[in-house]
Amino acid sequence: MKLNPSYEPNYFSLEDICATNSAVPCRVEMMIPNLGEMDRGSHSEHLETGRRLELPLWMAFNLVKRHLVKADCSKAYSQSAREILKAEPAVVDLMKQEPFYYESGVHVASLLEPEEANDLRKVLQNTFQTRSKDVISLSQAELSKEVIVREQLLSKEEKTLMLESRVKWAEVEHWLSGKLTSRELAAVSVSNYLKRKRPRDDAE
Amino acid sequence: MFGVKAFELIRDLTLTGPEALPLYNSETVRQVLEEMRVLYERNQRDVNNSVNEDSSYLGTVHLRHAALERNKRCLLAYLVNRLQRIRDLRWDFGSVLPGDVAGSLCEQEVQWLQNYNRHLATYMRGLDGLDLTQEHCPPKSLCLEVRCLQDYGLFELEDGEQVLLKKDSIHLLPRSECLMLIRQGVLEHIPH
Repeated sequence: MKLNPSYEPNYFSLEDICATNSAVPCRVEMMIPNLGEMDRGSHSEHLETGRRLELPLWMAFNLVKRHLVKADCSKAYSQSAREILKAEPAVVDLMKQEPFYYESGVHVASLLEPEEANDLRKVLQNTFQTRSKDVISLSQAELSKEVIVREQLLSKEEKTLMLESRVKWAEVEHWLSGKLTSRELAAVSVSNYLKRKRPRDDAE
Repeated sequence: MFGVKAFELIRDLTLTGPEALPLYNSETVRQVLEEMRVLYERNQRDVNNSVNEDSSYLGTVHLRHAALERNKRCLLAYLVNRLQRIRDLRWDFGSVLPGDVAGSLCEQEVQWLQNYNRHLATYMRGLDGLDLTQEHCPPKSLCLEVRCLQDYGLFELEDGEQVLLKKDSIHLLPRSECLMLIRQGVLEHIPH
């Protein structure tokens, strides 16, 4: 019943809404009247020129476009973070830095000066290319402590890919082993529901 | 900060897996709508000011407008994603959702589900009563060997014969009649 979601994030995409919620440091270029309450550090009634504050990406898009603020790289995408990714992409904990590291990164790049944006885009691409090999090998590996530790370094995008890939490998194996009749299973939602429900029933 | 409440709704949905349906959060939806009303009224005032006198308020108007658009996107995404999950649950559980799942729906969603059920039934009647919710792939055999996972009671087959579905009993049943029970977790298929 599920249609394959396209890659292009649509208006209702929960992932894209989450990715556009991460904060970027911004500098106010032009005074924005009446909205002083957004800047916790100042007592002014207005957002004064030169103030620095963190804005969510979705707000920064609009304000940068109108030259009201200037956006900077957040810590996860800063020069030093990029150097680390260039040197050793595989061991960085992307999940901790930014759950949707690649999605948010592409959005951040759209706010930066062309030169820096290109550098960031290139780093994101290389990082993903290198790490995707890890994602595949993780999806084939037997579950062990080490695998679980390495799984936690994956960003949400990588994790989704890995889980999907794990299911597919199992299906390929099932097919290769020559079992023709596929097994009819309870729907995922139903079995999850029953799992949640059973312990409670016992407790009553 | 604007848009924080609206994002709470989205987080509600992402915290559970895509198969589960969290309780409809009417209180937060109300708060988001209230935030949007305030944003709209303040923007109206500032727009009137800028039309008459100076244009220095334009930045404020744009910022509030971005917040309005964001809140709108979160609210709509919340509702649409919930409807998609309700629709998927309908295909998994059958036309009647179990009590506590049905309890997470709001009144309008219950209404929507009733309409959806009616349209689906009408469409399937038009196909000579073919049950679309059952066969997703071509069947490999007419009968399935199944083990019963719970005490379900008497189950009447289409030819009038009755089967007692007791926990841990094993039956060979016509595929078309036991498929729904497998999806609902009453029976378990024993593959050969």
